[in-house]
Amino acid sequence: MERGATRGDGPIRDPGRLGIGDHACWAYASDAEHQEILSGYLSAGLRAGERLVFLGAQDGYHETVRGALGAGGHDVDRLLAEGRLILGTAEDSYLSDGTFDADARVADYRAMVRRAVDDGYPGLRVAAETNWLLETPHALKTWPTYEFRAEILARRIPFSALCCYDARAWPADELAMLRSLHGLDVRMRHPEEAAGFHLRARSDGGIAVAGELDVVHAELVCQVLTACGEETGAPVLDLTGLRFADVAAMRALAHGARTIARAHGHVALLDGPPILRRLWRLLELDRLVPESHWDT
Amino acid sequence: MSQPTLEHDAFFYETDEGFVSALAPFLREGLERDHTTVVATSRARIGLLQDTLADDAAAVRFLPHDDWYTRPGAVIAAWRQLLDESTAEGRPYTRLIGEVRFGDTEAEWASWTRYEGALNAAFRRQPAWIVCPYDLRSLPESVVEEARRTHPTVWEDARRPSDDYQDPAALLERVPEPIPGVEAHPVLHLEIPDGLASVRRAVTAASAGRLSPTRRDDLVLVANEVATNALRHGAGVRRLRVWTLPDGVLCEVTDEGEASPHPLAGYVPPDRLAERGHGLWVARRLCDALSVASTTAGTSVRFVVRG
Repeated sequence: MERGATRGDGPIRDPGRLGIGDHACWAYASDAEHQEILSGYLSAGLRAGERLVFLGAQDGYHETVRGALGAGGHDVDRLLAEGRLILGTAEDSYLSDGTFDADARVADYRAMVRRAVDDGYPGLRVAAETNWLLETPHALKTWPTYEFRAEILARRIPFSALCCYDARAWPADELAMLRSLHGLDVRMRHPEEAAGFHLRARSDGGIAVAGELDVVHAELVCQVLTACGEETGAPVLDLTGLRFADVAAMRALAHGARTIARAHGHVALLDGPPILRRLWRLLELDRLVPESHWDT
Repeated sequence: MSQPTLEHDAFFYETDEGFVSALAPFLREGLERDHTTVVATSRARIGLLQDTLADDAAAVRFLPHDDWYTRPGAVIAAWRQLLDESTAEGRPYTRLIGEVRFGDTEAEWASWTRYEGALNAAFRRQPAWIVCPYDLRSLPESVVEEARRTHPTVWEDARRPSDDYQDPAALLERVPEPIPGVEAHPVLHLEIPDGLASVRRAVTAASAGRLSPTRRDDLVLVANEVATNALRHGAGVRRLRVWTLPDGVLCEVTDEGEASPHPLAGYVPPDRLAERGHGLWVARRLCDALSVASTTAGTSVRFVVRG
């Protein structure tokens, strides 16, 4: 059973409600909105006593943060001097040596969170821009997996992330897919409406798949699950919210389940509609993961 | 010694004695050699074999064929599972007796004739001997004639190669899958866009009240897989049309491409590790009928789900 989450898997309108354990996507379409949401997210972090990190698209973005926090009565220079606020640029942070190394980034965040806790903060709150990815094809390729590792990470250590996507610059399909890999989505009616499916980390660190998953995203989900299976906090693949899976999707889920089972010695598959189990049998996927792992 | 491969016989008989006197020794010989032995036939003939085999019958697996011969695709999958189990148990060889339940209509005869032909391709490399009994007293002549084309070996007074054997792909092209005729106007007509969700929604809506929830799920899955193939391998405009039948739903997916699926597509079990080829394999097992037709105008796949 999932313990009480600070978040559901639904939409969230007020970024001030985001807290430790949350990994949210935010696609913005105007500069005014940009300032408002960032201000709400970061101010909530200050109220909660957390350490803040903002990684802007370029230095100019820092003025937005200064303006936003300043308007709330905060002394930004003092926050910076005290180490409560860290400003950087996303490109410099994510592309050390000019290449994107997902493992190094995850290790980096783990270290930053540990430092924050050692320094007496309850956790680390990060907001990061993503425009740099559009000019970095090699990073874009592994980014979906990285995003989902961040999703799991937020469930396992005191960390929250707001991933900022400029909807004016991102191709709609790609953005929709990436939104589906965040537990939360700021200002969307429901995350799965974006790409039809939704992948999130449960509060116990297991993985939940919801919506409708077909061949269009099957390969992506297979990549994400097999890359992240070992990092899951619990050996759970929760399909209770999955309304439809086609042949390609079911095979992808089985490969993901097998990765989780290998890492933990077991995986519990939480049942969705009956067609899922039927298809599992038709495809003889119990050869990958025995059917005894299904949990009804 | 070369690897044993598939033997597939049509065994013609006219009396119960003829049935038992040939097939009981066939099974006994298998048991002596530690072969897996399986029989799917009518309950009456299962009784005959059990009486003759006496204590030996306990080592033979008997499957009443009313339950066994449901849909061709499902039976091929079930045989495959059985053959795999036999190999996994370390048995060197499998002997199957499979008496197809041909039914009463020409459509069923065609559908099961196609199944008999497809077996040759599906189990080409299996160390197995499949004997299909044909009861000359009750089966129509046309079915018996086709049996000579679908089996490399015929067994009457003696076993000998069939002079009329036809390559499975050619046979499946010659004997089309029977598919019900349709009225002029479908209840639904849709151009398939890039996303498959619209196909699933349309088929769900059109089958409401016509199919049980389980069969509706099956139809939605099949439509999804067939549409996936049309989007991936087809060309031009892809269309979905749906008609209701008195006892089910018929769908048609068309495209304007020249690529024509292989006649055996969906009949031959795909390699379990292969990335592709599972869609039609699953579709054939869930549909009551599935036909693929290619013309100069493109490819059309029609499929029926009942119940």
